[in-house]
Amino acid sequence: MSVMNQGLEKMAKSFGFGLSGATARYVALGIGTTNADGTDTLTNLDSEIIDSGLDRVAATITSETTTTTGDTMQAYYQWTATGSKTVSEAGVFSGAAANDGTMLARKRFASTYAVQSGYTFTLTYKIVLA
Amino acid sequence: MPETKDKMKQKEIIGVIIRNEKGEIVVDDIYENGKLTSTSGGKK
Repeated sequence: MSVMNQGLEKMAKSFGFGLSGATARYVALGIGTTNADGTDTLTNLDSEIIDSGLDRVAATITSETTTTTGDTMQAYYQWTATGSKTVSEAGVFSGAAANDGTMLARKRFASTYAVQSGYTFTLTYKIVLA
Repeated sequence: MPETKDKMKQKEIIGVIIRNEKGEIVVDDIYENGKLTSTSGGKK
C-alpha cells in the first residue's frame, strides 16, 4: 500500500479540522519535567498550566505545506501571561478543558522558559505528514 | 509477500517566541523532530 499525497493532506487536515472540516483543536502549556521528550504513551502533559493567563485555549488551526500540498497541520496561539510560570512543555489536544480529550502531540522543551506577567508566549506547533 | 516500505513519516516543527512587557523578543526557538535547531542566538 502506498499513501498518496492527497491522502497525506487529508490526514494532516483531519488533525486540525476533523474530517467534516469543523472540529477545533486546542493547545496547552505545562510546567512538568517528569517525562522526557519523546515519551509517546502519555495522555496529558506532566503538569498543565491552568491559570496565569496561560491555560488551554482554542488555537488558530491552518493547513500548511511543508513538502506536498496541505501535508501540515499548524496550531498557533499567543498567550499573554498574568503571572509567572516556568514553561517546560506544550501539547495539542482534542478537548477544550484542562487534562481533557486526546493529546495528539506533546513537546518537552530542551530549555525551560521563564515567563513573567505581561510577557507573551507564542506557540507554533506544526505536525507534518510527508 | 514482497516487503513494503512505509512511505508516511511524521515530523514536528515547533516554534516558541517570548516577548517581554516592552514587546521585545527574549526567546525565539525552533524545534524540529525533537531537537532545538534554532535559537535566539542563531542556528544550533
